[in-house]
Amino acid sequence: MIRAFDRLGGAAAKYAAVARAALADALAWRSELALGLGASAGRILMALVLWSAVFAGRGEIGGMGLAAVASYYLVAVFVAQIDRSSSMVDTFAREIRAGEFAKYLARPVDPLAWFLASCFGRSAFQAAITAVAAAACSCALAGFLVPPEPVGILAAAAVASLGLLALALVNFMTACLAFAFQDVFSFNIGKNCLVEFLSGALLPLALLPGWARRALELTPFPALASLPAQFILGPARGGAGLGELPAVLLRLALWDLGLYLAARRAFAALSDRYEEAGS
Amino acid sequence: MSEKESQPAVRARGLCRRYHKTVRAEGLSGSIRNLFRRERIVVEALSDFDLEVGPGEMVGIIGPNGAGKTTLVKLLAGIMRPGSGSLRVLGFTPREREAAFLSRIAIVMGQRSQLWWDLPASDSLLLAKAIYGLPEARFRASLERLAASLEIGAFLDQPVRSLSLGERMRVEFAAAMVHEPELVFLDEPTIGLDAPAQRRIREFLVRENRERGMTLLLTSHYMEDIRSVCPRSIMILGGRKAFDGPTEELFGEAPREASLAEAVEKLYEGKL
Repeated sequence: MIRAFDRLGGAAAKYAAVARAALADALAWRSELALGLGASAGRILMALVLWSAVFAGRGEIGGMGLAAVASYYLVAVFVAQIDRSSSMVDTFAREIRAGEFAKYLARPVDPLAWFLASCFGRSAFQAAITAVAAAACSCALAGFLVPPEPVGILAAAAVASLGLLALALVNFMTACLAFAFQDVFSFNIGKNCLVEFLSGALLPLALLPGWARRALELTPFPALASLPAQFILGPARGGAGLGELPAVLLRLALWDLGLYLAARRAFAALSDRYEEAGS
Repeated sequence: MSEKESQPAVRARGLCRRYHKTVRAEGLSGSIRNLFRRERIVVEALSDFDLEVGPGEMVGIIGPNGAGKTTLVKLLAGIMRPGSGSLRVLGFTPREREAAFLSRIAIVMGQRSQLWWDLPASDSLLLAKAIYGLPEARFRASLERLAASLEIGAFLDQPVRSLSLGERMRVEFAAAMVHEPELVFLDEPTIGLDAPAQRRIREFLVRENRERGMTLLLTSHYMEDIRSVCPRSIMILGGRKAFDGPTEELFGEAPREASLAEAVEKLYEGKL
């Protein structure tokens, strides 16, 4: 038992170091930090300008007023921007195709744990700069946005965390496709567009037909934008109530478990194809 | 002789590995045909290969491009699975990738970096400390020894991308060997380096072997690497072992007036 705890502690220290290195790597370039800040704020403001134009002369669309939609986008863009696992697909795929993946196979590391730890480190950086941008936008639009419930923020954070983990696992499997295919970059772009739509980051899911919304809610993708926004809006403004939280968390946890097992299986099946040519 | 010393570091019997390659027809019409039908051929990268390496041995592996040297190293390090044959390295089956096995080996590939490009070199070493679970005191002692031996102390605080190739390779060695591995695989570690940098690395390898009893398998196209470091050499031609014996015997038959490059060319052509 003590040995098992030692092993667990050792693994935690190992991947915490990977996450720290990934975070330090993300902080290496000051210009990237400034551009990231600008891009996050720009995306939030663009969504607000676009939806202001759509709302011109209308009180409500799909049961949501402009203030609710603006609040929705602030949260949706914030959560969607945090994810860095999509860009990690390109890094891992390049390493697989360039023969650099051997560094994971010949050292005592688990490639999946390394991928998740790197995503965590990079996402932590992205969360920090997006939070600054979101806070600035919130202050600028303080009288206009729907004031969030503190409990709703906690619920949204829990839901978004499980959703981001699910997305990272999907992205690990996408990266594993590089063992079999030369080009996974276009596949990754297509997947990113699909996830953006399915999560509600592109268009509030409330605007979709009821059957489509119900079907999408069975998947983990709304946890990346739509669900966190709904928990922050709260039931009084057409969002979700805390009573729904346990079922949502359970569903997401089951998705995460299933995707974790699928990711392990995909890596075991595809990594045997690693046949890079000699130097 | 202790039990550890009596057990070979590497024991391979009848090792085989095949690759599948796609052959494509030439020209536009060939490209269109390839959309519908592709011909796949099987390439024998390594065939019926036997190998035994004792603890503390330094073995050079030479052969022309595509001979199977890198494939052999990857099989031994557990990066690839053998097609057939039996393989034990330090008493483990490499492809099972047990942590106890991976903690006792290291691999350095000349054209593949394991360092974090935008971070100071010391960060990659700290990460290696976490990966191998080294206690602080052991890590510091090992790092101090490697920094002195490889002369890297002056640029450990610089981002890896700003280092010269020679400096980067020395840091690669430090990051790969900070856990003091028993068995080290080096695949073209001096490729592209200038003569002083090559010499420094050769001296480092000989010193590591003398002081720690490290076992080494080295592939290189620079015959001076093999001659200076490895008392034993194996030549691979077309995935098969063509020679296994003392390095001096391998080169000994080359005419005295022939350059090393000429001697190797004749070796590969089977003229010696």
